[in-house]
Amino acid sequence: MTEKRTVFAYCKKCQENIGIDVNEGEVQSQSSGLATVLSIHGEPEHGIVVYIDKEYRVRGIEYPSQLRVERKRTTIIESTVATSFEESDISFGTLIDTFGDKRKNAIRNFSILITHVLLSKPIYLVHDDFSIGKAVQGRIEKLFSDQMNLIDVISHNEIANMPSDSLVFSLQMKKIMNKCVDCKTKVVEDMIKDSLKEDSSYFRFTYQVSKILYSYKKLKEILSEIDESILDTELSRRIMIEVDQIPYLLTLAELQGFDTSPVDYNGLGRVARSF
Amino acid sequence: MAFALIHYISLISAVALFIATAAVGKKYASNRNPLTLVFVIFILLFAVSMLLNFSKGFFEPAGIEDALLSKAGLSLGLIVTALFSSFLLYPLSVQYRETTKQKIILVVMAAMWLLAGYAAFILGTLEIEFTGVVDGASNFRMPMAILGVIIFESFVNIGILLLVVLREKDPTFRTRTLILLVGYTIFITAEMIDSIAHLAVIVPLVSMVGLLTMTYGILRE
Repeated sequence: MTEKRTVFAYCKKCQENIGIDVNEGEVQSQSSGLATVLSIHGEPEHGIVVYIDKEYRVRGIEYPSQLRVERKRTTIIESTVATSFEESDISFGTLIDTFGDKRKNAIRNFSILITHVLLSKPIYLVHDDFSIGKAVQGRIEKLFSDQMNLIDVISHNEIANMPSDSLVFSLQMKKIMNKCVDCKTKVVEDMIKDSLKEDSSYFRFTYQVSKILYSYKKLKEILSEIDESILDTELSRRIMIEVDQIPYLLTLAELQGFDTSPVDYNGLGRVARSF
Repeated sequence: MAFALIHYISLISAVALFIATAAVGKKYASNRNPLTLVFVIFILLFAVSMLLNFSKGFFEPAGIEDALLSKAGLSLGLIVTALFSSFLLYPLSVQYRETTKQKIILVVMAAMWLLAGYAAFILGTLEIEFTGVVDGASNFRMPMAILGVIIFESFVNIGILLLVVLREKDPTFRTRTLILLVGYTIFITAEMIDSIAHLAVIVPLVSMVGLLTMTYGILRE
């Protein structure tokens, strides 16, 4: 019997991850290596075309410009508008390298930046050539599918006037001038490293970011409603993220004033999930 | 060279375990979870011990090389068992951090390694005493202190794995752990009956069934 799997793809129109049920046999049997799946969902109803590889990773998403659904008959896509598919890939490594002299430092600094974005902290990129600063800003905002308006570009003369509750990063010195959050960012660093290994690294990281944004949003919803304890393994299932990434999200939630004490570490559950 | 059925069975088990090692290693490459790394080492050492059993076939049974390989295999068995205990107990110690339960669990973990060290010391000073050759494989008198430590620690491991299965709510993880538990229990049963001379002939087959079951549990998606 062929089993089904749920793959999550970020839909810009819904602004959240959409679960798509796929048939394992059909995905594995694709000679091209990519399965093309059409998902029609939402209110008003709209569609996305999702490309899934044999590892069940989303490789690309297209948004049909017109979609006509004839009930009880067929689904017709008249044309598609490709977005976020490969065109920005070459520059992801370059974008990361903008944040440090060495790749390791750059990844670390960029992870700190992403953490500030997740916490909705203002970010100031410092560059005396405004056009370069704006180009980097645009690239970062694209990672968040333009959902965030937290980043601004300033010159070095303005650094002293920036609020302390913000991240100030000098693109020329490749150095953090001020940060207001200090926590472990290994989860994001690993996400960046994994994305850099991929051919479509920019898209992969955008997808990872959309996943973590969605999970963090869900986590905050659960933490605000919860009145009894919950195991971290159960929480990871509900917010659809790996259990190893839970401590990072809980730290973020704590920094935003959420009570994370109802979340219990499931030692035995960790054993079952480690092999 | 004196290859017999038991050596080929060991080779099959080693290959299956190396495949399982590669699969869990791939998982570690993506999640970088230290617990996964410990499991990779556990399953890798298991595979190496099976390879040592296979390599006994290159030598005459009950010879000096056979004795050395038997000692090396037993040493690995002690390390593998204690390592598996740590793998199962460490997450529990984190769960109960800053409580008395954590201290108890840490003491148990330390005791497991001390016992393994004690058994390894006995093994180091021991002269292997062969009692005969059964179906091409040498038989030796297993010192009860060593066998006792391996079996005691294995039973602790089985108990914890059983707890994991009983407490786990997600059917996917429950089934995988259950298969691992069944395979491990079969393997430990084989180790136990190894000391009963007239059952020695079925030991390799039972071991292989246990190890292949474990491998299946690990590789199962």
